Amino acid sequence: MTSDSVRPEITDLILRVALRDRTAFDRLYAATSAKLFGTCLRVLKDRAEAEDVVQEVFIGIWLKADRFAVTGQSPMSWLIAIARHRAIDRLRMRRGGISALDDDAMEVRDPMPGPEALAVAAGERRALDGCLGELEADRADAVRAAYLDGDSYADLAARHAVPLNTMRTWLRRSLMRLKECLQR
Amino acid sequence: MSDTDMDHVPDGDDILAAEFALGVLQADEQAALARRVETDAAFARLVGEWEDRLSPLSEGFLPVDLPPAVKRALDLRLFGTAQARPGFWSNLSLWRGLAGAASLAFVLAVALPGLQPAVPADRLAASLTAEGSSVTYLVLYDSATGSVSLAHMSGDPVEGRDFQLWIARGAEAPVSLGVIPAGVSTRVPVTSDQIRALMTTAAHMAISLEPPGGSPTGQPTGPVLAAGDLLDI
Repeated sequence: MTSDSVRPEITDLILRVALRDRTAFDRLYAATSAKLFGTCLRVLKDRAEAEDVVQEVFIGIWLKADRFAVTGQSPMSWLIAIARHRAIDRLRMRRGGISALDDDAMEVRDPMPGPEALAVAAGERRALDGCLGELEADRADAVRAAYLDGDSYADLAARHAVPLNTMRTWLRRSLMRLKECLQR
Repeated sequence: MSDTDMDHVPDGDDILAAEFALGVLQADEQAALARRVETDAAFARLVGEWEDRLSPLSEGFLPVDLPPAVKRALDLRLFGTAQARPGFWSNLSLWRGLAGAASLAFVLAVALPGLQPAVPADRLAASLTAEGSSVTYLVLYDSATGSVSLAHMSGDPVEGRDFQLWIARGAEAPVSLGVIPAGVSTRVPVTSDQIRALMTTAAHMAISLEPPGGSPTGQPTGPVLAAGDLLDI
């Protein structure tokens, strides 16, 4: 969903939301809420909680749309980052353990990207996958778990049975190697 | 990763931005960096670069449709209701009902001392307001004179920042009408054919807070202080 074919429309909608345009806000919701809900759901693994957090995500988008132009990043990656951060904040607030995956919640909607969008996304995905593949398998897994499931350093350290500082060192090096690899 | 580079642990803002983008830090550290992103544009850019870099992984987030009740709950939380717009000045239809074109000319004559409203030919008006902002303006566009009259109703200038006026139509990016004197009534000549063409009821206008001299990007960068739709009067 970070492809060029969806970028101009989503960018325009965000800029109009920055001008407090409610019609644009409704259209942005229609175009992106399924993806952002999917993001919250993957991190939180609880449908009711994800439905609540996705509302906070859109409140954040309404309030912070004027910040979008400052970052210069692609619109879907900006929106997904807001969703991930909100969901991870909620995850960290939880005291208890992680609930079981809600199968009903994972009903999948067809995002129907065009062929061009698919090609661009596939290219970006291949590049990142290739670079993750250059890392040791457990370190690539740590990056994926942090991104997709919202694992913290503490979670990752526990899972891989290493001290937290060791995990931090691993991940920092892995991230810099990813960056170098993607720049090649 | 080999053990030979054991003594090279990356540090500095770039790796901190990566950790923040990934979200692996403790809640208090994440919160502190979130505040830094708001105020430190260079750091915000580093974070944005990392979010772009990692975004192919977001293919793992499978879209899931939301029930319509969630959007209704969101509208209620954000706007108070699903329909009405808050505040007197934002409700221009009420205002039109009360006032009408003749009274608008009167209000502008009062609000714009020394600026005589022209005889109406093809005129558009907008009430610019925004929730959480005290800045309100009344806009009148007169196609005969090709100028935008801005009646300042409330709100103070902000030290070291400029007000910038924008127009946008439909899903198009906003176009600047330039920096306006903050917190006073004024008139902005419309000399550009592009902006004249935009002056229709399909457009809305807005005022954003920008660095001195106006937005460096050509698009609004600061908060929107006031916005409203253009309506035919």
